[in-house]
Amino acid sequence: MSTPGVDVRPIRNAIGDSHFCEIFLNDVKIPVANLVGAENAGWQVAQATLGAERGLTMLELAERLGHAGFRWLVEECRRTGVLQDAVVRDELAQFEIEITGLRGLCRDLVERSAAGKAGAADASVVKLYYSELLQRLTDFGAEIGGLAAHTQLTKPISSGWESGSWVLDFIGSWEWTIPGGTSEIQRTIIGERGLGLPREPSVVG
Amino acid sequence: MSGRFDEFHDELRTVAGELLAKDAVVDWPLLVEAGWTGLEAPESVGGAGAGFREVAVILQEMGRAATRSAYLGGAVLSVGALVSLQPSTTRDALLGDIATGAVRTAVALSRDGQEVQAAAPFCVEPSSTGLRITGRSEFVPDAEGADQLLLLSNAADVPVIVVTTPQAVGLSVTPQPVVDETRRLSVVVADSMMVDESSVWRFDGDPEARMRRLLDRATVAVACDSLGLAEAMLSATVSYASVRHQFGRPIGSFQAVKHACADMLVRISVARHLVSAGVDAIADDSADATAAASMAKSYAGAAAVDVVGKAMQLHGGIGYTWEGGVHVYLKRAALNRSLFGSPAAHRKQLAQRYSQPA
Repeated sequence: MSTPGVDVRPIRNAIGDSHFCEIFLNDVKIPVANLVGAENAGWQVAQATLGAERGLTMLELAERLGHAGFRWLVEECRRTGVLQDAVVRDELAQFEIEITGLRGLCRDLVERSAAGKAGAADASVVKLYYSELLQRLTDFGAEIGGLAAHTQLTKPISSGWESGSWVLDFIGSWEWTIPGGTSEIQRTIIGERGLGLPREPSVVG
Repeated sequence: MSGRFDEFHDELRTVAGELLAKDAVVDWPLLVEAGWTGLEAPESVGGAGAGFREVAVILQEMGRAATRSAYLGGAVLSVGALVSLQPSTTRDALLGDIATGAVRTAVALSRDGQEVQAAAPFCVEPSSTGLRITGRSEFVPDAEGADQLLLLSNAADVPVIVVTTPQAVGLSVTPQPVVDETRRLSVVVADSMMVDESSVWRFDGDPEARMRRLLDRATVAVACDSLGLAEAMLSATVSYASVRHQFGRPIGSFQAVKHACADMLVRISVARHLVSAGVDAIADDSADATAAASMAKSYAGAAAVDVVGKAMQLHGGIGYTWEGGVHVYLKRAALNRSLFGSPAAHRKQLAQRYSQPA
């Protein structure tokens, strides 16, 4: 990254952090020995990297959501005195059910990827479902947390996507529904590669 | 589901799918011929000695085909109830008769067909002339035309099964027609029906736990059906959207349609995992089977209505016609959602684990 010509400019995101950067390469010279994979086959390498991210990473994220995330949510409901509310209990049960389903999906994706049997859209199903579930769950946390949740101006250091700073978690959940292929892109991938639906006709200019 | 049985399950699924595709109505002799009535009965009594995982495959395929049959009441619930009873020659003989198809039974296990708390709908009371049975069970699957009825009853606060013929004095079986024409449900009423001690069959092990599992089994069985219904309707919708053209393109190429189909697949994928976990829990008699059953039923029951509803919408005008057939699935999905507990009722039961009510 310190090679001359590499210019890294952090991008400040919606919650004030900088997880993403712009990287500019100006006449950067890299030794041939540093080539990963074959020349002009970089897309496959990138896809494999993304595939690994969507497999094991998703498994970890789902387990975190199922353990710490859900427990914090129940704790938040207890703390704010709404745990006995029938509507709240119904929402909590729905989240527990969906997280249980997500964890099953993730375990299955990892197993099938390891066996080389993953379907073309399996990773997209998991990414889409996780990101939108995370968004709904953190939204609910922010609602339960009330105004007090708005006074938490920072997230705990090295916390996950459900840190218990619910407003920031909620705003931060768009970091999952947009990057790595937006939810809309995932739905198109699922429709076309997963279900075999006809592609959008390309616009001939 | 267990990996080493995958191949066997795939084969069972294929055979079942082919058989069920032939006719929407599968009568009892055909179920017997297929070997499904005794699938779960022990080999010692003439059954196939398979388990609930295999039964689940058949249930899912019957959902996929929206099959009208007595499989749920006559085999899944009946055999499930009988194998959880203390072994005896009469019990084994009845299991054997179900396997050969000689006798068709049904189980009355719920008071209103939708409660999630297990509670025996009938009561056994001693009297000077014998044992008197009183109670009422609604929406009993496949009780109409059954040769024998198994009534889940309380005998001095201990759950038992009372075995009787529907012709017994004091017993009535009245069909309860529902919008879904693929299910046969009846109300079973016992009004001071007299039986002798030999008609009272006891559970093997903790009677309360056995009764609970019986309801869990029914719950998961319906969830399997819902999953099959949803899978069939997604498949039908994808096929239709791929050939139906509008504005010079297949409608499935429009994002509004494509993304709706993608959402259907996501819901089905999640439902598949929850149902699979529920099936495993019943098959293994896991300690958390009730929670797993509630999760499967709550999610798959709601998802199937959602998915089939979308299927009707995406089929457009033809989807709403009688001839189009989507309505058969929508009605069955909606009935399934209520049968043996609504999604909300199951969630309420799950939520009891978060804290004891104040």
